Amino acid sequence: MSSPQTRVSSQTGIGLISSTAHDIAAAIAWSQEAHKHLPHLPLFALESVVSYLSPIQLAHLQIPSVSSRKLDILTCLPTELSLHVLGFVNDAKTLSRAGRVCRTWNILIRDESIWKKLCLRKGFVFHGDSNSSGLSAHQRAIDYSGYAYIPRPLDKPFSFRSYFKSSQTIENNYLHSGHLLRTHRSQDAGIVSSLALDSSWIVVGLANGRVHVFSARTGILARTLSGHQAGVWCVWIVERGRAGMDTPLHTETLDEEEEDYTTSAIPGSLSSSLSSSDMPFQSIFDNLYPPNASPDGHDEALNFDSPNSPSNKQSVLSNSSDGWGQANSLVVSAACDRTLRVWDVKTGYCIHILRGHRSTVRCLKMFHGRPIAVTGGRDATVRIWDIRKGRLLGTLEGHTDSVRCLDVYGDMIVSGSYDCSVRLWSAKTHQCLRVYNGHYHQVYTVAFDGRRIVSGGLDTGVRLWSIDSNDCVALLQGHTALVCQLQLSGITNTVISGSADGRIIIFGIPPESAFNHKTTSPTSTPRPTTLTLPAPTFPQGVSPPSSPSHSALSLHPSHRRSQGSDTLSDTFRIISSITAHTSSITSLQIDEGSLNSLYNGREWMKQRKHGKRKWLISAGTDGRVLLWDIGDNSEGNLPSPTKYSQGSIGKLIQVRPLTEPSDGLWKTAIRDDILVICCSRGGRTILEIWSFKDEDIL
Amino acid sequence: MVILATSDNEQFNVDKEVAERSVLIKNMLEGENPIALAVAFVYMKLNGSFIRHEDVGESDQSIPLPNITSPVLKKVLEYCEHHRGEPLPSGDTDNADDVRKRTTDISEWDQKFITVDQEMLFEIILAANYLDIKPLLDVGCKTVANMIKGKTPEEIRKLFNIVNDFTPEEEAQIKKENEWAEDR
Repeated sequence: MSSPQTRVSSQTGIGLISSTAHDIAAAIAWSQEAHKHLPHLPLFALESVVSYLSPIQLAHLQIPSVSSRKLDILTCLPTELSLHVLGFVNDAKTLSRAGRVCRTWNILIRDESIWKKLCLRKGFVFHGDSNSSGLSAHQRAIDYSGYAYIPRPLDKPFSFRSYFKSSQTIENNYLHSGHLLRTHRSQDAGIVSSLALDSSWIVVGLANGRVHVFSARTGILARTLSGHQAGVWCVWIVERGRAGMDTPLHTETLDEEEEDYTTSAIPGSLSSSLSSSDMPFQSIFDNLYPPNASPDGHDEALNFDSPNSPSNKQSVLSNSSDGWGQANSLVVSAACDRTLRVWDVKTGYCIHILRGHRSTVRCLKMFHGRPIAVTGGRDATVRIWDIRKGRLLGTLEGHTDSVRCLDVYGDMIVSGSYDCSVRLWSAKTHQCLRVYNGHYHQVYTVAFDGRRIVSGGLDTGVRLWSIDSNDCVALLQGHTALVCQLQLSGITNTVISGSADGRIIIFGIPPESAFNHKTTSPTSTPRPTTLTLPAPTFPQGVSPPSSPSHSALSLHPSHRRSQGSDTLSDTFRIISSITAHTSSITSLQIDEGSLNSLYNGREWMKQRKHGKRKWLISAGTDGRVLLWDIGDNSEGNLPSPTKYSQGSIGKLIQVRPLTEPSDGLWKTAIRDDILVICCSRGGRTILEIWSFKDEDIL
Repeated sequence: MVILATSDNEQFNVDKEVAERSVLIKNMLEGENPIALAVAFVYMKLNGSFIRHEDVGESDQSIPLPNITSPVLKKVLEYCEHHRGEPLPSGDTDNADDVRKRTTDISEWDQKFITVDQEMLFEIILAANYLDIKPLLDVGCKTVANMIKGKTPEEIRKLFNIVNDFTPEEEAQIKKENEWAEDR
């Protein structure tokens, strides 16, 4: 096919209306010749003659434009215009099919700009803070750390086309079926107490004191960490690398996992006998620490005053945190034997045994990007540890009963206790900043986003607190049993809670900015006002709970006043309330990608709008693991919020059960393309590792 | 009034407001065309005098459009006439937000306007690109995009009269490569 430029000139140059005498003579001769043949031409041949005519010729001859006149527009247009056309194709199916038309189209369709646009449109781009460890320098050079699903392993150079393909495949796998990487069965019915998951490792803590580490990529048991004398209650994984600005990411990181399988030839029992004597191996770990750890104790990683603190990031529910620049992934575990242990995943050695708690360590959190662990125990204390140096940094005393739950953000710690109170602490000064009283039963769960705190427990009420005031901002009601799971999502201003009666509720709450004023405490003890909301509706297929749905929100009067006519109460609402399980909810998690993005700008809402689905995974003691799509509230019939938007958080729509029903469910965790389920079947403990990734990349 | 001359030597008298839907013509008329300015400057230097107003192309001088034929220009002007007075789109159009909100929706009038044969559609896209009429370019490109939407490769070939130039092996390979995008 001729290029467009020559096409245009040829139309004007040698048309029927050309002007030279020679051409006219030739044309007359041709037409006389044609006169003999044309009437006998089959129609298709005549059509092909017409198809050679230009629009001018046609216009001149008064032949109406007919649909049979065909032109391969994409091939004839200059490339940049063809790509502009393809930029308007908003589905991968059409693009892929177009790539099968002919060679020219196939080349066009491979253009990266088209796939980049499609990635943007589908929302497969975001959270500028995804895990960037494990990428080669080349991949990092093209700034790819901001993309949602990171395909692993990365043996091919990054392309938007393969990235889109990978993301689309993961989404389809979520929707339809994952790939069961591996199932591990225990010999006994060992209780799984805790589960941690990062992009490389799955860590399982057991009531028998053992900690198992599996590869997240293959599902193979990498090693068993033995040493705890009693049941492990909490495990945590600190990802390798990433110490904020100048992380020395080693070039060999990509090979780490490969190496592991050679070293993991040591059977679990042998590696455990090695690990029990940790001190002689201390020197091995000198290279674990980045050079900025000066010996005099002045330590950047412990300094909370830096303006761009890496710990200014909400903790994630898969029990993992960003590293501070250390070369290997670390596991931290806490147990009934009152100790905290720090393990090197790569070698399986126990680096530190941290003693101090006088009773069982019940909860554990770590600050992002810092070697600081915070634990709460049955001895009613909260303790802060430097897991790099292996020392206790401080003991926070004040609670009068077992500390059950923790959350950390920035330089602050929130603890919830069986003494019915929630406390806010400074990790810097170790002082108690606030005591929140209001719960009249034990507190089981807290969540904290830097300004707002939500807490829940045995008294079935979810309470919302601000770091600016001791008063309860709001009491979110709707649960009828122990509230055991809470997730606070900052950017969409929602609280997601799960309770022992199997109910999941999504509450809309006011945005952070509404909390930015200092409340003047009224002299008299304020009584929160209760606002009754319309009873929540139930999606089809989900029966309303047997007990009457009591849905109400209570609001602190001072907050209502301070907002003038536009009361805060307008922003509290129940977005979704469903009975998801027939018994207690044991895990509740928005998928990692979305949770990260909640904290990295407003992308989340845009993504939901533009097609990327948002998942919620719930698991209950009824033995089921369910996948939910957090729907779009624009279709909902709930009153829309007057001033503040909960974004695109909407109703929960059940997608599918993620695994076969089991007798009981211990824990689940999900992260991007990996789902881990710890359940019990036929008297055995089962660990299922599912992958949603694009298998072609493997 | 502005006079536009097509490649087939037809002249069109057009309202300035209508002609200025084309950013190219608008810039020419405003003298923002750096070449036009440079030519004017050299002319002035050579003659040692100020050039006459008409010489830059304000009134009686026609603007030659050597890439466009009269049927196409007629069609393009029909579009410009209908959309006269509407705000011109701003320059930066490739940012992320724009890509997101970009739709394949075409207004009813535009839809009717762009119902032409493939060759005319092709010429309109080329002309809109040359004349720098972004909304018209987009209407044209969206139309082509909508034409291929949801069609199988064979349907697309038939639609545009394209010959399948893959070997059977290549075709099988490419089909396999693209299986992921088909509905499951």
